[in-house]
Formats: sequence, C-alpha cells, structure tokens
Amino acid sequence: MKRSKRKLSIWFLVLFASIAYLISPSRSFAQERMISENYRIIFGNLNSGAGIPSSDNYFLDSTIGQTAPGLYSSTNYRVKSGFQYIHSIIPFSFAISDFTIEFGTLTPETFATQTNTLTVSSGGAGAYQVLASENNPLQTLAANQIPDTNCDTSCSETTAGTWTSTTRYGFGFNMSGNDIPADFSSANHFRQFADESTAESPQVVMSSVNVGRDRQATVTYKVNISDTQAAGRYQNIVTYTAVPGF
Amino acid sequence: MKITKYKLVLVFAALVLGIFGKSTNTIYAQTLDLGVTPPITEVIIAPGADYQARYLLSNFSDSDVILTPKLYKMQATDEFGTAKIADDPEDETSDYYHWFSINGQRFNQTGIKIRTGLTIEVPVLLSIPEDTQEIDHYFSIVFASDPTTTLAGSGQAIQGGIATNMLIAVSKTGLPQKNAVVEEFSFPKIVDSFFPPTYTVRIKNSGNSFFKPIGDITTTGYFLDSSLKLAPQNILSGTIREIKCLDDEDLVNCTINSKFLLGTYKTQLAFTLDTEGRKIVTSETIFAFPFLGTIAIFGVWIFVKKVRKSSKKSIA
Repeated sequence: MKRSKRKLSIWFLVLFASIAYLISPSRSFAQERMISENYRIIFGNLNSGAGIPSSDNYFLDSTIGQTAPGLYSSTNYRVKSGFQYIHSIIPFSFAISDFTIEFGTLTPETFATQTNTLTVSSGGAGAYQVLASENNPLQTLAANQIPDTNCDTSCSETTAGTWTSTTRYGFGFNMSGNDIPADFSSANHFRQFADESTAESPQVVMSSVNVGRDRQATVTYKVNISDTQAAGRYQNIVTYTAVPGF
Repeated sequence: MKITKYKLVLVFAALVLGIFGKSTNTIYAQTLDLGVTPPITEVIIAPGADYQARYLLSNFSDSDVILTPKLYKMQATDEFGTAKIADDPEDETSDYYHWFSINGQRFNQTGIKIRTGLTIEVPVLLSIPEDTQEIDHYFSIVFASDPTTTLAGSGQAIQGGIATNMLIAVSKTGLPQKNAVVEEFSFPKIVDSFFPPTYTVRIKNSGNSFFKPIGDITTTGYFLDSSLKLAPQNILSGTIREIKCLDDEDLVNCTINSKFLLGTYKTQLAFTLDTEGRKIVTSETIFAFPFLGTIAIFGVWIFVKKVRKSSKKSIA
C-alpha cells in the first residue's frame, strides 16, 4: 500500500512538472500576424497608445496613410498603391537566417564552410530577384587578400564551376534550394561573389516570375588558403538585396 | 505525513523544470527579417507637384535594426515583370536623388531604427521639379541594413536590403500619352476537342507611359461563350510584357476552361490601356475536332475488323 502511494506521488509530480512546463510563458512578440493561404496581414505597433516615437535620426508621423491597395487622388497626382487585383495587403518580405558568417581560424589546404538561408515571400504580382555582391575580396586591415576562387578550372561571378581540390584556393559560394540559378547544379558548384571594388555588377542568386511564399535557398560559403597566406583576420561584407516585381 | 528526502528532490526538480524550462528558449541565430508594404506604388503627377508616399516597414528580426534608404533607377529585365535595379544608388550628383526625402532628409543621410517585432510607417516625399519632362521614371527604394557586426575571426558581415518599386509618370494634364501594339496573340489554330488551347499574349508599350491592359479574351462558338480576364499587369514604356490571365486573385495561364470543343470558334483579344485609354481589338479563328478520339475509334474499328476476319478464316 505504501509502495503504491509512493508510485502515485511520483506520477503526480511528473504530471505537475509537465503541465507547468507547457503552460509557463514563453517569449512573446510585440505584434500579431494573421496568416492564411492567400494573404498575410501584419498589424504592428503603429503608434496607438505608445506615443510618437522619435530620435535624432527619425520622426514618425502618427497617421496611417495610403498603404492599402487602392486609388488615391488629388489635384496634382493620382496614385495606385499595391497590386490592384490582389485585395489583401501582402507585404514583400525577405529574411536572412544569420547575418554573421564566422570561419574562425583558417587552416591551409582545408576547406572551411559556413551556411545561411535566404527566404523570400512575394505575394503580390509575383516576380522577384535577390541580388548578391561583396564589397571586396576577403582581406585584412593590412589589405592582404584571399582572392575570389577560380574553382578547380574556372568559375566567375556569373557562372559556377566545380571546386573540390584542396590545392585550389580562394573564396566562393554555392546555392541550393528554391529559385536558384541553374549553374548551381550540385553541392560542388561554386561562384565568386560579384566584386564591387572592381565594378562588377551584383548578380542574381534567387529569382522567380511566380507568386511565392517562403521561397528558401541555402548559401554555402567556402574558403581555402595556401600555407603561404599571411596571417590575419580576413573579412568582407556580402550584400543581398531583394527586389519585388512590378 | 512523513516527507522523504527523495520526494523533496523530485518536487524541487519539478519546480525548477516548470519555472525555468520554458525560459531557456532555443538560442536563435542573429537573423535579419524584413517586410515592406506596399511593394509597388504607381504615381501620375504634374511637374512642380509633391506627393507623400507612406510605407510600412516591418522588422521580424530577433534584434533592432537600422535601415538606410537608398534610391536606385529601375528597369524591366525580362517580359515577366522582373525588376532590375542599377548597380549603384543615386547620389548627390543625381537630379533624381533630390526628388525624394524622408522628413526633410535625403536618402543615405538618415537611418530608420525599427525595434524588433515592430512595424513602423515611413513617409517618403516625392517632389517633382517644375521643368521635368513628361515621361516615365522608374525607381526602387531599397531599405538596407547596416553591416556593423564585429567578427571574431575571418568571415563575412552580411548586409540585407529590401526594395519597393515606384513607377512615376510625369504629366501636366494627368493623361500621359499611352500607346500599345499587340506583339503576339498566338495559340494553335487547329486543336483537338479534348485539349483546349492556351493563349499567349505579349503586348508592347509603344507610348511614353506605363499602363495596364484592362480587358479579356473571349471565345465564342458551339456551346461555348468563354471569357478570360487579362491580368492588369504593368507594362513599362518601351518594353514588352507577356500577360497572364486572372482567376479570382490568382495569376493563371490563359486557357479556355472547357471540357470539349467542336467546330469553329471566334477568339477575340480586346483591352484598353488602363481604364481610360484607347481600345485595342484583335481576333482569330480556332477549329476544334476530336482528332485523337477519331484516330482511337478508327484504330479500334480496324482491330475489331481484323479479329473478325481472322476468326472467319479459322472457322473456314
């Protein structure tokens, strides 16, 4: 009898712990999202009850203006906002899963890779592009550089090539997932980033002509150095810009 | 009741788990997650006039962001509505740079701070100079994050930007000059009865201002009176766009929704340039016949005939 009472107590405690875990509050966001198959409406903290935010750099008007799809007119202008045949407000959205890519300490003739994910929702008339470029090749403060990769034989900012040899050095990236260029035909195909310092044009890394929600692609960054590479922290800035269609 | 030691341990463990278990949330990577509404604004505006556009910028990232607005010239890159922006943003040396401001400050001069989880409204003032030529101007406004993260070792700081497009037609009268040519209205002229045709519509904007084709493709004939609504998609000045059809709010191929066609049908493409422009009409004829069905029936008939002939021979 004592043993069964003991067992009952244990089960009760486990049940209590489980319930406590499930109902205890988790981190809550400051705004709500309403999501359906066809639309997503975002209600933000649009100043109501919170005063008018301001700082040295910005000031926000408290009126909600012409952000709903529709026709607005005045004496000197006519305006259409949004895609007229899509009756919901569908924001164009773009997410990057990690905005710091750390390789740590690089080891000669050993590939170092890291990844992040790009996600685009283009719910209006469809069509979008994501453009990518780097400000310059990986370089230290002393301007020592790790050049952009030429892959095993050749590759560029517009055309990917296979890169598997550890005696081929440089920095490049691979794409996998939705809406990626066709030349990323395998996990071993890499491109250089378009180099802004040499006036190379940003290149398309994701694009679609269709309406799409949560279109996702993974970027794999890869670097390899020779044993003669000067020591230092090699860094650069990679820019992704998502542009909706018209 | 005597409380044993191990019961006390269990109670303590349960309390700790219940209070702190949910608090030790999943550790999130540093994300950048932005939204902008509306994704497109179309303005017809007189020289010398102002217009204040308002954008909703959302920050779904796990930290506050500071976004810098930048102005880029934009153009069509294909026939499907894909926008291409210039390599570099407009700067102080550009006339267009001085058309835009946010609360009195030019683009590139101001940072817009958005706290995590919030949506804010950003007013963008467009001021058209008095002497501006009456043609179209197309721009993308990019709200770009600031790559200020300090890396511990070798690696990349990632900068993200999200754009919204603005199509501007400058016109003193509010009626910019619009013109169009049907570049292509094609489909199979002879079709199988069970395979209705899909229409390809490509329209060229031969005028000075962007417009949307407002109209439909009608097909009439034997037991059919079909109307496919053209999607009112923007066609920029000097460009060609392939136009889809609209099924409620969905973009679809322009395909007749019919299970069976037979005989001659008249197909007409008719549209106006926006709601007030001139009307363009072109028509063609389709002939439908159950070719595959006929071949199948004929094949079966030949087969049956041969089988009967063989069986008669074997009886003989």
